Amino acid sequence: MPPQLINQSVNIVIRGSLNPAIFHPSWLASNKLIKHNEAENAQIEIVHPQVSKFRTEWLLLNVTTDRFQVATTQEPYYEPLRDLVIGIFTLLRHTPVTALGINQEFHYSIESEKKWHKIGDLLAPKSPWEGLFSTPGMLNVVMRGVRPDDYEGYILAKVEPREICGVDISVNDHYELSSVNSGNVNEAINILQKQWEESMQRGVKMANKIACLGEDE
Amino acid sequence: MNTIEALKTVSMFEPTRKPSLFDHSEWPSIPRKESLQEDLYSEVNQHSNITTHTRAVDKHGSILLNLKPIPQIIAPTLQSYPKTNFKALQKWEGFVINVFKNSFTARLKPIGIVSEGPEQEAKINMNEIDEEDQTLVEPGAVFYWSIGYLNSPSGRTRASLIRFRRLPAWTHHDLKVAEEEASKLKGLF
Repeated sequence: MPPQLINQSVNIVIRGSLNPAIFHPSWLASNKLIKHNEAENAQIEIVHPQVSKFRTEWLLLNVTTDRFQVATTQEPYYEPLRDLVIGIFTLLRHTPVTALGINQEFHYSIESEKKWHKIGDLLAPKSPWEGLFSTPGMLNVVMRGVRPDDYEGYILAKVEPREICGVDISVNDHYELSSVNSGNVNEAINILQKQWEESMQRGVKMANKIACLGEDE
Repeated sequence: MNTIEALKTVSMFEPTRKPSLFDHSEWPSIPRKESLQEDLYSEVNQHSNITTHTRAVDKHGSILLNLKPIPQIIAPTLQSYPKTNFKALQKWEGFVINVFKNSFTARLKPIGIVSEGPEQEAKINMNEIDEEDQTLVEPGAVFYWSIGYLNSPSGRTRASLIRFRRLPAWTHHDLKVAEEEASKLKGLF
C-alpha cells in the first residue's frame, strides 16, 4: 500500500515591518476579507502591539512585528488563504516587506516500519555513524535547493519522523523580495498570483516522492 | 477579563531553552505549541541581541533597550490537526457568467492536485451558496468549488463547499489613479 497522506496544511509567511495591533478579525471583516460571522466567531488569543493571534473555522493568523503568517489545514481554503494575503497587503500597500514564503506541510502514514526505516536510511545513511553512536536514528533532514525560476530565494525541504510509521515533510518555497521598500508588496502579490499553482504542485510532488522512498522499485 | 487586564497579570516572558537551528525564525513553519514561545522569543532576540532578559545593556550598564514583557501565549498549534477536516477529491476555480433569480451559470476550471481536465460550464443553485456570500454573486465574480469527503469523529460524509473570492473594494485612491490613467490613455487616441 502506498503512503497515505493523513493531513496537509498550507501557510503563507511574509517578513517585513508590521503593526500586529491592526490584525483583528473585525478589521478583516470590515474590509470584506472574511465573512462577518467568521469574525464574530473568531477565537482571539491576543491582539497586542507586539503580537496578534486568532483563529477562525479555517484560518490561523499569527502576526508579530516582523512576521506575518496565515495558515489553514482545510484544502478548500488554500486559494482563499492566498486571496486573503493578497487582500490584506493590497490594503497595506505601503508595508515594507523583505521575503515571502509559500509553505506546505504534509503528514504521511507509512505502511510498515521496514518502509519507514528505509526512508530514513536513504535520506541519512547510518553507516558513517557506526562506532560513534549506538543505534543512530535520523531526527530530521533539511535540504535546500536553488530556485528553478528567475526569482531570488530558495526551496527548502525538511523531513522528520513523527511517530512510528509517521513522517512529516515540510516544503518551504522562499522568495527574497528585491529591496526593503514598499514596492515589494506589489512583488509579493504578483508572486502569489503567478506562482501559486506551481508552488503548490511542486510541494505536493516533492512530498510524495520523499514519502514513497520506502516503496519497492 | 479583557486583553488589557489580561496583559497586566502575566509574568515576564522566560524562554525555556535557546532557539536551535531548526527553531530559527528564518524557517517559516507553522508554530508548534511548545515552540511558539521560543519562536516569539527569537523574534525579540533579533531586535535586541539579548539572550535571557528583556533588557539590553552596554558594557557600562546603561540600558540600551527596554522591552515590554511579552505575555505568555498558550497557542493551540496547527500541528494538532482539527478533528474535522475536508479532503477534496476535485477542486475548481469558477467564474460567474450569468446570474438569475435562484441560480447562476459559471465556467469551471479544474485546479489543485487534480488540475487536469477540460473547462466546463455549470448551473449552480443559489441555495448552494452561503447567505453572506450570495451578495458576491455577480457576473465576473470568482469562486472556488471543492467536492470531497468531510472526515469527522462521527464518520465520513460526502461534502461540497463553495467559497467566493474576497478582495478589498476599490478605494477612493485606486479609483482616482485609474481615472487619471484612463484620461492619459484617452488623450492618446
